[in-house]
Amino acid sequence: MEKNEIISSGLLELYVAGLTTTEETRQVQDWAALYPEVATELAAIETAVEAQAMANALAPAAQVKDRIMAALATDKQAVTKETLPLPPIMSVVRPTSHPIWKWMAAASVALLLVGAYMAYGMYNKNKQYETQLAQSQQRLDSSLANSKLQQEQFLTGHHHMEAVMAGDIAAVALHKTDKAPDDCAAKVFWNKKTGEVFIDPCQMIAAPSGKTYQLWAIVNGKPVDAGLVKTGSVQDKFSIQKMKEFKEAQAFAITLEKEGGSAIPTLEQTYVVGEV
Amino acid sequence: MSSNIKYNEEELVMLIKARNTAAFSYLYDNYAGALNGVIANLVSDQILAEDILQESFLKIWNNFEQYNPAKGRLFTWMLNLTRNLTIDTLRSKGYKKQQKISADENSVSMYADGSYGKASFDALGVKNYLGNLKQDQRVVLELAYFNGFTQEEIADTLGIPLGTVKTRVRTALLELRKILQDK
Repeated sequence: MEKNEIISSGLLELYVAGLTTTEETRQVQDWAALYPEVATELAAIETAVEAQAMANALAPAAQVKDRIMAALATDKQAVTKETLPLPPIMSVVRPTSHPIWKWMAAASVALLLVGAYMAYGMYNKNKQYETQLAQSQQRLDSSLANSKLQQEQFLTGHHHMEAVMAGDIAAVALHKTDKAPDDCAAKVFWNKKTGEVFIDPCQMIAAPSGKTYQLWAIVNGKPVDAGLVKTGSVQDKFSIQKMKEFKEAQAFAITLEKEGGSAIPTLEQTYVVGEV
Repeated sequence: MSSNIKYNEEELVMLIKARNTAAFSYLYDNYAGALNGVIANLVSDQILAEDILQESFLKIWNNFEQYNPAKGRLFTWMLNLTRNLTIDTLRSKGYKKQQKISADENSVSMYADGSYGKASFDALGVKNYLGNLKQDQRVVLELAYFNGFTQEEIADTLGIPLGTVKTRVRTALLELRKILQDK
């Protein structure tokens, strides 16, 4: 079928309603992957249905949410707000343009104002205060540098996230072993088609100084170096990192190694492990 | 703007796949009303409707790995999951699919039991505009998207040939899209 015929056939509308046969469903998905116009049309249909559902919305009883969230709390894999506070959520909650940057800009302005005010006061007073000014400005500088760093990390994280979202991704949960001293876990996102591997170490405790985490892919029973995993400061915890690429792997594991990594994993320091 | 909204949906999906409960709470706040509206259209027993809503969200959480953004928007997936669960639940309790058409022109929701939760909210501010949709077009959209009728059941209910169901749904959706665009 020509793409215009596909669009006007009415089949896309039935697909969104879940009324197509298995064969038709596969066909629509193929078309959507092949023709951007079909994908756009599908998105427009879905958005209209969503708008109609929103217009029909009925506020549910408050206790329903309480019951759901209580049930989630018993899910062992659940990550609660406390362990994963985070930049990303802020922009989810406020869907306007890049609120983190706005927040950082506002914070920077506020800090500048504080700095300026203090400078004025100190100018009129004495040398003792001048040292404080210097200190405050140093803080301001490092806070600005920090903001910039966070911004960069956010951008990198965003880029990696897009990559993670882009294709058919297998998510591999890595669970704590007996050898890990503390509670920890990690998640590997693996695109089997392109071989791209990403690690989300948000639930790993920071590696002790002089040590580093190293990811291993288990390929046909042999551990193969997949790269070093950064952990540490608060912001690092949330960044999804791109690792080495693998077309084939049966499992992934993280070990604690000396700084710079090792050629062979220290198995007695295996912290988390997960099968594909 | 639209690219931002899409980005946020991706981010939400990403966080929920990472089992983030705060993100799931946000998802609930944004979509529970719409899904509850779908359930209320089919179920007049409020206790049962609440149970189904709860089950739906737990199913969304537990089966989130199965959601594939390449196959459609998150809401579509949640909508179809909720609707199917509602129908399955009713069927297991011996109910048959029903369709009561309200004469009330302003009622977009045609099946809601009058006693149940009239305090609906209108997140996108489109409710009034949907009043412009012709009654038969509204019905066909409700049957296909919110009531889980099959093509045969839609044809039977509307008394039209099976072959024209597709075009009826498409025409109604095009009209809805036009109304949404004009606002």
